[in-house]
Amino acid sequence: MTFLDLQTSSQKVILVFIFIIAITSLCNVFLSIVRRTKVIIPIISAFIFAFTSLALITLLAFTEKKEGQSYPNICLFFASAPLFLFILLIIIFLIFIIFVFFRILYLQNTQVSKRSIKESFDNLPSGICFFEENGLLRLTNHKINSLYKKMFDKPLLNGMCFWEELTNSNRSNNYEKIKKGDNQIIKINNKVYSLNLFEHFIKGNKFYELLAIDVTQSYRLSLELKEKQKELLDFNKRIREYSDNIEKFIIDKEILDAKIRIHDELGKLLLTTSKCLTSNLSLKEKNELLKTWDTNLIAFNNMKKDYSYNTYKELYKVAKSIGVDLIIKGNKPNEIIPKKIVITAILECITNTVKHAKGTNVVVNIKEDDEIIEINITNNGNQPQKEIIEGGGLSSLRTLVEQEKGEMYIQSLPIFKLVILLKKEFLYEKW
Amino acid sequence: MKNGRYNVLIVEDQAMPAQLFKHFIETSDNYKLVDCINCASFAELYCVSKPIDLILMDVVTADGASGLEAANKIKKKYPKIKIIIVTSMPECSYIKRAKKIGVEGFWYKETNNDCILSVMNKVMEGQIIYPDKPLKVNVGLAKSNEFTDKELIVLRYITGGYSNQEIADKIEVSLNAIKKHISNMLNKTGFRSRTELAVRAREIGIVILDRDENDV
Repeated sequence: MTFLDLQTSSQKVILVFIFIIAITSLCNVFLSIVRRTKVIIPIISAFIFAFTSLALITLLAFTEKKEGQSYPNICLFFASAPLFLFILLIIIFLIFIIFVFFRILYLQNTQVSKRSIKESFDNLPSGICFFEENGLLRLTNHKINSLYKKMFDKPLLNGMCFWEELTNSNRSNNYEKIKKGDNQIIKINNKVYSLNLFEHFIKGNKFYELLAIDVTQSYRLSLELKEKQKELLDFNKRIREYSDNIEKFIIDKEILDAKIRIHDELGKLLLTTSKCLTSNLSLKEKNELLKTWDTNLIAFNNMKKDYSYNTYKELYKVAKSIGVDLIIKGNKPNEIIPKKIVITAILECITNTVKHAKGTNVVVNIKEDDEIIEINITNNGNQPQKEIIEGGGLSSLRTLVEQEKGEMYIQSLPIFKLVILLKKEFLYEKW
Repeated sequence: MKNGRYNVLIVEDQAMPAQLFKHFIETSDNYKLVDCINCASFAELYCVSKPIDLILMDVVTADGASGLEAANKIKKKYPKIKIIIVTSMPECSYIKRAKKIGVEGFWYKETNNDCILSVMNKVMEGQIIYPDKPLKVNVGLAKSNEFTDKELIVLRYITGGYSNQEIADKIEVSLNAIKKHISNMLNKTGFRSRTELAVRAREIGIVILDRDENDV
């Protein structure tokens, strides 16, 4: 059976198929060239197009044939070919076309083209643009364009101008500058961006990359962290203060507990005594009762004493008890650091006065102005015959003074004098 | 020693124990009271000009002066003077530090079965008297002897108000190690926070940071 043996309607159906194959194979030729498939594919597609076109033209002529008209041999070839061959070819060509179609689709989805680069560029979460040394833009994405528009109310046309406007301006109505420098951080519409400029060299030419990263989350967390660190510092400060005062609190508590105990004991004693007065006690029992009253009254009297402590008062007492008359003129400091230095210096001088100078009198002059505390110590003992070499005590004192950024001078001749200068600006940092 | 009696200096800032020690010494035939002072910094001054045989030295004295530090200085310059450390604080490092200094006796004020006079007598006879171990106290759900040495060091700095990073720098370990120690202590004690741990530890007295931080 041949094409010519078919009915007209069947012939037309086959012609339609051949037409479709021709058109799609022509499309495949172009698409496979654009998508850069293997060379064989466009070649085969072109062959199929040529073949099917020729078949179409020749078979169309036969369907419109007129009586007595003659046709070239090629037309007769297609017209007299077996039908099953037509159908087989159609099926093969269709399979090929479908294969090429899906291949082109696969390549379209997997191949990186200029368009795909631009598309991915635009979808980046960060803003990015590349420009030349003169600021001419080479590649930008939507994010950077949008950011620039929000910041400066105009479109982005020049990359270098963007960076210069950003670094040179101090204020803006549209955005707030959080950090300056190589890494600029700005806040705009409740979003925080970190902007950086990078240099690149490509084929001997210099290009710049401006990157704008959304750091809103990180910035918020860093603020929270700063807040927590501040709270922690406050806590630590309070614990330090608590630690400094804890001894006083414990002493006060213990004194109070002792007072409560003594009062309770006296109460019991009164009750016992009143009971005993109405009964006959032996001499031994009376003596025991009186002894108990004695002990409790001594404790009661001790309770009334003032337990507040004064370092300088004790220092006077201690100096007196070892035979040294201590005189302190001027304001005695009570803050921790200067007090410690003054007491240590006085102790050292009293020790040296007793041990070496065999003196009985130590005079301390303390002068203070807005900036300096000056401590001046002399004694009435034997004066040194030569320059004093600092021993362990004086060296330790010097270390203590210099630790607090103070100065210490020792005059040996003609009379011994120890001078300490403390700068308030360094002491106040710790007070 | 004078007239067969040992000269004793009391360094104690709490009035009750000071009165107790004075009472024992004044009613004893073996001892004579030289003086009773509140601040350990002044103890060495007495040793310069007075014949002292024995010092009863509190650890935490007035103005935060450390009795252990004073004992250390006195022992170096006047090794013949005997010293008994007295304390009510269960601070774990005190016994170790006292032994290192070379003091002859260590006595807990409130819980010791031995009377102070008995300890003084033994020390003057040449004995070295120390408790077997530090006072065991409750710290939350834990006992004070359940803490490791490193944990106690970290806890000591926490009570001084140091941050974790500062503690790590001071004792030359990593920040994570400090956090681990704190986490372990919180688990042991059942306290809810670092602050609670610091406050309770300081109140109980198992760790006390010296003002000078010379020795922890």
